[in-house]
Amino acid sequence: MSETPSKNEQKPPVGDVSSSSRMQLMLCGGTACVSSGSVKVKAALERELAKHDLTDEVDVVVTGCNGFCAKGPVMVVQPDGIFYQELKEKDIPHLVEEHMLKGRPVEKLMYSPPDKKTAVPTMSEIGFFKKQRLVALRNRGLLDPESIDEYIARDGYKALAKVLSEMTPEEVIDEMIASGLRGRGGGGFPTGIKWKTCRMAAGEPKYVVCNADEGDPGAYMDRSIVEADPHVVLEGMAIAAYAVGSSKGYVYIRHEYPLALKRLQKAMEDAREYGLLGKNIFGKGFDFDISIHFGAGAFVCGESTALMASMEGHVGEPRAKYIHTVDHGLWDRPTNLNNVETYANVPVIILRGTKWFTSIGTGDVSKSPWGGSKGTKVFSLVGKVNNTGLVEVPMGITLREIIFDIGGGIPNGKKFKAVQTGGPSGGVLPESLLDIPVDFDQLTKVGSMMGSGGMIVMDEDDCMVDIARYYIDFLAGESCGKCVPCREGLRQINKMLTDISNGEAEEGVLELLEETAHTVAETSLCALGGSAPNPVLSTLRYFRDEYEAHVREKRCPAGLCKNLVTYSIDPVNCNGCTLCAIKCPQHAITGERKKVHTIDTSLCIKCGICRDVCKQDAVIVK
Amino acid sequence: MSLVTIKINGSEVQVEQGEAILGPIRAQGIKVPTLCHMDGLEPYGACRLCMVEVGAGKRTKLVTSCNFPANEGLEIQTDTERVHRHRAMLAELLLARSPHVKVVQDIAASLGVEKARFTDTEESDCLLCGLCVRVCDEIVGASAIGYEGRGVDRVVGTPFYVNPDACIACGACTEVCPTGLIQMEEQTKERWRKELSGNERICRYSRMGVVSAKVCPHNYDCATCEVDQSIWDEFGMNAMLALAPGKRRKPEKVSHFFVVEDRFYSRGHTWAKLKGDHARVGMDDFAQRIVGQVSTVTLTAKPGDVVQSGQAALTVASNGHQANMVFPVSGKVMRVNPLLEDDPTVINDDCYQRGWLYVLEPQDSYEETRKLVDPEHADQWLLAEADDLFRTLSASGGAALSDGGELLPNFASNLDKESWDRVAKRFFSKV
Repeated sequence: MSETPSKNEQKPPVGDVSSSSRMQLMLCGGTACVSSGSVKVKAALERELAKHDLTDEVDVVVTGCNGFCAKGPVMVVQPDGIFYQELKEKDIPHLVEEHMLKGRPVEKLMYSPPDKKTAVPTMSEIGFFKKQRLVALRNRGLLDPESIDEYIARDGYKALAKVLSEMTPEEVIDEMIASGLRGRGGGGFPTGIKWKTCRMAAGEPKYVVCNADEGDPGAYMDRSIVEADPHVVLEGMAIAAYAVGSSKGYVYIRHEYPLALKRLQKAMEDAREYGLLGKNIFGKGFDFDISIHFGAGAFVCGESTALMASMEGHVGEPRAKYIHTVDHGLWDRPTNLNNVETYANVPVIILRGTKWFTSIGTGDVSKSPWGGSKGTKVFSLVGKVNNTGLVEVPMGITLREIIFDIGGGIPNGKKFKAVQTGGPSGGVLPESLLDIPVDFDQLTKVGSMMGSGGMIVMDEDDCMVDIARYYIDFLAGESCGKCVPCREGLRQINKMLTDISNGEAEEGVLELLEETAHTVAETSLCALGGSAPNPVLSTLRYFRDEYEAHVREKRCPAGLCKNLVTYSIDPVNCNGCTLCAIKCPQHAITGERKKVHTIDTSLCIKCGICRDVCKQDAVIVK
Repeated sequence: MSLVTIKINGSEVQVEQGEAILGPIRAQGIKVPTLCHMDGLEPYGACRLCMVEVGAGKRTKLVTSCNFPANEGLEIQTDTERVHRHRAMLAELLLARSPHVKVVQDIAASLGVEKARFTDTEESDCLLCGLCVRVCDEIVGASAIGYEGRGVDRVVGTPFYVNPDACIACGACTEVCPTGLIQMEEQTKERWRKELSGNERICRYSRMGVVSAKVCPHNYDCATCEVDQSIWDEFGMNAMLALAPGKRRKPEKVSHFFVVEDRFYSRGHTWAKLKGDHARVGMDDFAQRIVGQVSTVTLTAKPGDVVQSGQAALTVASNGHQANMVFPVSGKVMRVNPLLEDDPTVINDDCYQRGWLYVLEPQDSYEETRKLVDPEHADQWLLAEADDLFRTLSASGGAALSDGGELLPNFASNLDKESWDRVAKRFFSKV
């Protein structure tokens, strides 16, 4: 799994295809970098380039999300691949003069690994990028997402042309089945089989829908793909439409994604103008157009039947179904619903073939697409990890590689405790499982799931009861409330977890918690309820001792559950700096300068500020 | 539609392809608890109580029988440990939400759950079964009520918290509500009284499309209106529900007799159907079959009388023998059925709807019905009664039965006085 980027699916960037510039500044314009100031950086770059009369020689290209969000705003100088991070407006005059004018890269704006002082100049040498393998995100940071020409220059719409001129719909479907591609939205259902069922379903017209209703806290894979490379989604949908026999597509996207939305709309307009959407595409008699449907931001609308109910103008609630949406979906018509990332994988599979695609990943899909997990998966790596950001990795990579090699390990010298995969309803996995290969079946086996690709890292300061309670609280609020187990079950689970965390739970609560969680998992109407107990069941499975400490000893081992801890000052370590006394909002800390301080526990609200400000590690939480 | 063969707990049954399996399972006499299901409404799949296991061997899965479609070769298990465990937990969750609601208590008790172990308890009157919302949408077509909030905050409500113009005060929501919580009819009538005058006061039955355009002269006090009474007399139930094609609750045949599972039964074979603050009472199918073609009915009480359950309500005569029937509940008599005077055989024609006897104002509906056979257990009870009747008749020389064991029409006329009195005493004198 130690692929180097030279083997990646990346071709050199194109920049503005019509220009003959000698240098392209690929400035990240993803949401994270925009919010940390990349728009100002862009203006400064243009200003400085104009000042030095470099505008014709150096292009500034605003790209989609580069992925290394922790270090934003980031910029890659091509063709050399020099990576700059944490750019500020005030850095730009110096940077332009030194690098763009005099050809001397600026070391202090480059990345250095946390444990070393030496800068790593090129992007491909940085640990965060080294082990990634870009398939769905193959164009990220390499083109201007608002330019259809740049997409076409990087083989864009070539797969659609190939499909329309050389392949029958059945051949396309066979190709997808053989590739072993499985749904990236979380379900892991083989895409080709879904297409085949939809093609064979009776009923006209048929619809192709793209699920871009990404609702997991801290996860932004789909947003990033749409922001970085909107055309790949349109192309993937068009190929799906041809395969299933549809001429109408919808993208269901959250209203809270304004940048993604803007780029998607621009891409659709350009594609129509180029004749790549609309009537008689490529002169092959194939009609296909796409509309956008805005979601109002309900987590449950990521569920297929709730999504379709919402599109039909109803409240976004799942339908009770044993008939699948590929047979009876949107307006009761056969509907093919795939996730953004799934569609993004389609064009490259068509172009490079299943042999190439199946060379990445785990298992053997030659007999059945259920036989393994092929290709790559995009994760948003967040939480207590140095390099937070968006990463695409080959299936089968270990969690350890993702967290420690790509993610750069745990910040502040803390110890790794657990990782949650699969979003809020995923499972929480302990250190002993860090070496399992990441694929659909392995994660399910250990009580978690691939989900849509959220990955949240936790360290020794995180309490597992509190983590479970946090997610259940989120899910209880996002449950639509239709069915009894999800609505009432999550409510009771939430109450039990709150009691445990407050030290108010009685003996036997863990058994009742488990019993309730199993019923919610097995009897809920939709997958939201079905997977909601995962955080509880997995933490109970791997961190039961922590629960027992809360229940029996009324003790929170991580020192996080406020009701169960008291703050005190270690007289040996305290040097009387008075910092904690100054910062304490309750004036609960007293003591003379250079003498040991004390905390009045009757006033203390356990906010933790004293512990955070103490440089001597003298605040004890027990 | 083609027929397919499915297996329910091992026995083969032929059903229609794609038909929801709840009906066929219940037709086997198997009890399946439900809360959100109602014949005539689209399956909703929200209470999850009707879960059964389908599949064979180790690869079985839990599904809701109210909406799981029958397919050739489908194997269904209704009596497994897994089914029982999850149903009991669901009942326990409901019991924590609404410990005081009778229908929840009954379902929980039938699943062996006495008390919820959970600590987050409240006393919510609404179970969120969605029957009211769905009746208003699917049958009435008004969509005047819906849900607001989501997750644990979900409640049934009206748009913008006001009484909506869309409500036609048909009362169907109240009729189907298992707890009687929702009172849209009264609220809307109250608003009409305030806001409408003169010709604006359109009769609610006109709004329902049941009668031609008519202005209400009764200040929307429907209890005093002859239109309302005659419509009730006609349907014996909410007009919207009665008129919806195929939505009227059909009597079920148990042994040789019909029973409707929407009302309470006294052990003296009279029924009581509660609506709002009044109870309608009548004779059940078992009684009218035993009595035979009714020649005269003598009602022993008149409007204004206060009667006790178990007290004689009427004497019914047929072919020279007669029987005394008793009141199933106590209360004040409000009305008697005017049809009986003209033609008492309306009891034989339609004992559950048009052939009703009295309308009472019960003293305490809840307490009154506790003594009666509840709708859930009516079929079991009737089965036992039928067995008993056949044993009694066989002992009387079999004069009442055909060779095939069927009840002869007017069989009572074949019984001697002693045998008849034994039958009447055994079946009609209890409460």
